[in-house]
Amino acid sequence: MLHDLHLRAHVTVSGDKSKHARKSGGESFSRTPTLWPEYALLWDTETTLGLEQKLNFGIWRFCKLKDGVYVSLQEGIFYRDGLPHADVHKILRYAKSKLADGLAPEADRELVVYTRATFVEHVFWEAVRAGALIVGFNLPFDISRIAVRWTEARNGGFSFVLSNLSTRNVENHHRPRVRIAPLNGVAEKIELTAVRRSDEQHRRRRGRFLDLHALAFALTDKSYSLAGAIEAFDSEIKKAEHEPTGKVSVKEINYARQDVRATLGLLNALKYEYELHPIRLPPYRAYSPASIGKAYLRAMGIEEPLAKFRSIRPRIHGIAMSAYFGGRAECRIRRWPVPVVPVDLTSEYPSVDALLGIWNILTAERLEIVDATEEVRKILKSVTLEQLFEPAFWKKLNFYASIIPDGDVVPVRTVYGSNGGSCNISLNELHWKQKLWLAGPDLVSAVLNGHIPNVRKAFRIVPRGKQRGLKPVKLRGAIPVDPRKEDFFTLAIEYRKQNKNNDQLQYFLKILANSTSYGAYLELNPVKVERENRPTITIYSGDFVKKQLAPDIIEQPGSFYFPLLGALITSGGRLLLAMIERCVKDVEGAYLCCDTDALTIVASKKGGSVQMPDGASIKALSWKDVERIAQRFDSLSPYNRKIVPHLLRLTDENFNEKGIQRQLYGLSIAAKRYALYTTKCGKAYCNRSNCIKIVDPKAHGLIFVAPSDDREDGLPKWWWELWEFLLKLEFKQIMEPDFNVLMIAGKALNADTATAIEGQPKWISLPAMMKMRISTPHYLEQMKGKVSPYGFVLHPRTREKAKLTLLTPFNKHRSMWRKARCINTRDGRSYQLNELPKSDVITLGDVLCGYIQHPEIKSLGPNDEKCKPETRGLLKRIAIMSRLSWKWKMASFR
Amino acid sequence: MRMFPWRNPIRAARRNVEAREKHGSDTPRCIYCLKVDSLVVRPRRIQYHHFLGRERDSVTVPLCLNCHAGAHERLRDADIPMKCEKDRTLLARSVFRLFAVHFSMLAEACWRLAKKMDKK
Repeated sequence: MLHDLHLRAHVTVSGDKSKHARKSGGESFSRTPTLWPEYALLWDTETTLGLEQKLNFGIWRFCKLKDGVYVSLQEGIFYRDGLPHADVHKILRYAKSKLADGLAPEADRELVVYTRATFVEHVFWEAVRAGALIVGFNLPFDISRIAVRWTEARNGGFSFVLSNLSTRNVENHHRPRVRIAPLNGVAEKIELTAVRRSDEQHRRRRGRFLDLHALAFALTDKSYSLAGAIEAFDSEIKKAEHEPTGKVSVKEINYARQDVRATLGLLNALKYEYELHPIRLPPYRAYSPASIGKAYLRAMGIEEPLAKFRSIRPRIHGIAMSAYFGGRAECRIRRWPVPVVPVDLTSEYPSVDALLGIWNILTAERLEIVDATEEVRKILKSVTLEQLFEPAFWKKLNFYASIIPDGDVVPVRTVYGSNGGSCNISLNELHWKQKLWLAGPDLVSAVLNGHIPNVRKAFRIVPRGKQRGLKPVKLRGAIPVDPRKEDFFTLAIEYRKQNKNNDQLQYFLKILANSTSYGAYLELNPVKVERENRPTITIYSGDFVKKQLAPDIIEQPGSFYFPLLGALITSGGRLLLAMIERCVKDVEGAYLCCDTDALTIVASKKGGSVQMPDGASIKALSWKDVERIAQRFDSLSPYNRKIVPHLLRLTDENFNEKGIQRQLYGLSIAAKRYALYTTKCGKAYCNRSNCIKIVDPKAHGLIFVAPSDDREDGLPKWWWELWEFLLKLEFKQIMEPDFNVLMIAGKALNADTATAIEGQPKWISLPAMMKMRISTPHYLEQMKGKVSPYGFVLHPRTREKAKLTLLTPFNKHRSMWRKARCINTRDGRSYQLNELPKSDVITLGDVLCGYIQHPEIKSLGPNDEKCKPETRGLLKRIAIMSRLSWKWKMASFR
Repeated sequence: MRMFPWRNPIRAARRNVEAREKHGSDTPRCIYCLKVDSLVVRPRRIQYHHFLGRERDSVTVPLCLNCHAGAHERLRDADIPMKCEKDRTLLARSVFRLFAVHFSMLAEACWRLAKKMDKK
C-alpha cells in the first residue's frame, strides 16, 4: 500500500527574542517576595439559566493572610447593572437583615452591596492594585460574567473589557482588560493586558488570578467539581445542597454565600497541600502536575536544557523530532473473545528514563554528539533478547541512526484510512528508498522483530561532567532527593508505591513523574502569529531543512523542551513492549491488544489452544508461562525491590477480592477499545444472562455526556452497561452467524424479525449529547454568538443531511433531554428535540452500534485485506510502501 | 451594623501595598535623622528628595519633612539653582556642590548619632 510518511519537525523562529525576553514584561518569579500574597479576593457569581447565562448577582469576600490562613475582612454582594428593581430590593433587604459572618474579629460586619460597575471599580481593581490573589472556582466563567464585552485576544483566547466610562458605553482605557487563554482543557492562563494610558498606576502588573479548579487539578491530575474538591482535600466548610433556579431569592443568596465560604475553606486546604512542595512556583502559575514537576527541576537547580546545551545544533533536534513517536496502541485479535492475562509495566517512562540514564544527561554540564556509525552497526548485528535484560546494555541505546527501511518493523505515522482522516501511529513493515532517522531503542525493536536495519549514519549523546549549582530537595517535604546522586523520578515512583492507600497522592505522583520525565521534554505550546508581522521560520526534520514564512499558529517550546531526550524515552517504552511481545512470541503465544505500557496476553490457567473464526488456532499461554515472562523483567527494575517488587506485573484485574488469580476474557474492537470480563460458565462467550461480569471496560472515543451520574469502580456506569450489551450482541452474532442488528428509532432490533433485542440499556434511545465549554472565540463563532464565553452548553448530535447545529442550555436531568428546546446556530431557529424526525437525531444506541464497527485501520484482516467493520480474528501488520516524497508533520502545523 | 463606615479594608490594603512598593519597606526612615514613618498617617511624613536636583537626575533619598526643608535651605545657601545648567562646567560645579551638601548633612547625622551613643 502506498502511503505518505508524516514526520514531526523542530522549528526555530528567526529573530526570536525567546520567552525569557517576553517574561520581563510580567512578574518575575524570583522577585516575588511570597508565593501567597497578603490579600485575596474570593468571589462567585450566580446567573440566569438560559444559553446566555447572564449575571444575576455575585458574592465576594476580601481576605487577609493571618498565621498562614486567609481570613475574611469584608463580605459583600454585587448585582447586574440593570437588574429588575424588584430583584435589587430583594438583595438590599437581604443585606439589611443579615450580617457578614466568618470575619476577622476587628472587621466590620456589614454586608456591603454594590452594583457590578461599582464592584469592578471599588473592589476588583482595588484588589488587583493591592496585589491580591483573585480567587474563584472556575474563575474564567466568573470573569466573563462581570465583563461588559469581549474581543478575541491575540493569543487566541478572550480579551474581556470590565470597565466602561461611567457616562458612556465606551471602554475605560485607564483599566486593563483581562485576557484568558486556554492551556490544557482544565486550566487557563489569566492575566491583565497592558494599559494604553502610560500614567495608569498598575500598568506593570499582570494580576494574580488563581482558579482553584486548576490548582486542584495541578495537585492531583483530577478535574473536580467544587463539592468534589472540598471532599478530596478534606476542607471543613461544605457546599450547600441546592439546585440553582436562575432567579434572585433569599435561598439563592444563602446558597451563593455558602459557596464562597466553601471556596475560602478550599483555598486554605489547597494552600496547605501546595506548601508541602518545596518549590518557588506561584500557585497561580501551577496549571498541571507538569508545572509542579518543572518547578521541582528548577528547585533542584537544573538548568533548562535548550539553554544549557547550546552547542547542540537545531539540525540534531530536527533529527530527534523526526524520530519522535508517541505510545503504541494496537488491537491484534479483533471482535473475537479470548482468555487473557493483562500485564503492564510499572511507571514505564520513569523506568525507561532510569534505564537509559536520561537523568545523567539532564544534569550533565555539557553534551557531546559523537559519531557512532560503526558501533551502532555492531550493536544491531549482535543484539539478543538476553542482552536487553541487562540494565548496563540499555545505557548503550541512547543513540540515533538513519536507515534505509526495507521491511523493517518500525513506527510509522501515516493516514491509514483509504478515505483520508487523521494520522495514526503503528508498528508496521516499512519499505522506503530514503533515509529515515530513528532512535536507538526503536532500531533494537526492529531487530527483535526479525530484521537488522541497514544503518547509514549514527550518533550518540555523551554527557560530560555534572552541572554546577544542583541542590537537594525534599519531595513533598518528606523524601530527600539529591540530584547529584539520585534519579528524582525513580524516587517519586517509590514514594508513590509507599503511599498506595492515598489515591490522590499516588495518582499525582504518577502524573508528576510521567509528565516531567517525558512530557516536559516535548512540551510545545501553540501561539498565534500576527498576520501582518509573520516571522520567518526554519524547519528541521531528519536531514530536511527549509526556510519559510510562519503559518497562522506556531508552537513555542516549553521551558524544558529537549526532543533529544523525549524521543529516546518513548522509543525505550516501545522497546520494553516489543520485548514482552518477543517473549510471548518465543513461546508461540499471541496477544489481544497493547497500549503504551500494557500487553494483554492470550493465556488461560493451564494453557491450550484457542480457535479463531477462520478455523486456525492460536496458543494460549498458561498462567505460569506469563509469570515466567514477567519475572524476566525483574532484572531491569531500577527501583528498590522491597518497595516495587516487579517491573512487569500482572494487573489488578487479574485478581479477585480475595487476591486469588481469576480467569479473565477479553474482546477488542480497535486500539484502546476493549473490555475485560469474567464468565461464570468458564467459556469465553456465552449467551446466558447474568453469566458475564465486566471487569475493565475501556471506552475510548465516547465523548458524550453520560446518561446518568452513577459511577461504578470510579468509571461511568454506562460504560459497564454499554459493554455488557455490546458483548451480548457480539456473542449472539458469533453463535448465530445470520443474526444482524439494526438500530431504528433509538432501539436495537433484530434485522430479520424486526423485534427489539432483550436487555437493552435504558438509555439507548436518549439523544447523544456533547457537553461543551465555550473556551475560545473560535467556538463562540461557530455558535454564531448564541451563547456566552465559558458557558456550558449541550450539543445534541444530528445527522449531516439534517443540516442542523443544535445547542441547548446544560441540563443534568437526562429525562428532559428529549424535550430540550434547542437553537439551530445555522439559521437561528428554535427546535424542540422530540419534534424533529427521529432519524435526524443521533441516539446513544446509534453511538453504540457505531462503536462496535470501528475498524482497526492500522492492520490487515486475517484474509490479508484491510481491516473492515465486520473483520474478526487475528490481524496482521501492514507492509507500508512509502512514496518517494514524504510529508513533514511540523510541530508548528496542527 | 457598620460601625466605621469610613473604613474600607480593600482600599486600605491597596494603599499599604502601594506605599510599601514606593518606600521599599513598611517603615521608611529619614536618612539624616532616622525618623520613621509608619505609613499609616497622611500626609506622609517622609518625602523623597532629589539630592542632585529633579532636573539633573532621578536619584532620591527618603527624608522627613524637617530634614527635607533643611536640605533645600542648605542648597540655597550653597548657591545651587534648581534648574539644570546647560553649560557643562556650571553643571559640574553644581553637582560637586550638591554632593558636598548631601555628604556634609550625612556626616552631621553620623556625628549626632555617635554623640547620642556617647551619652548612653
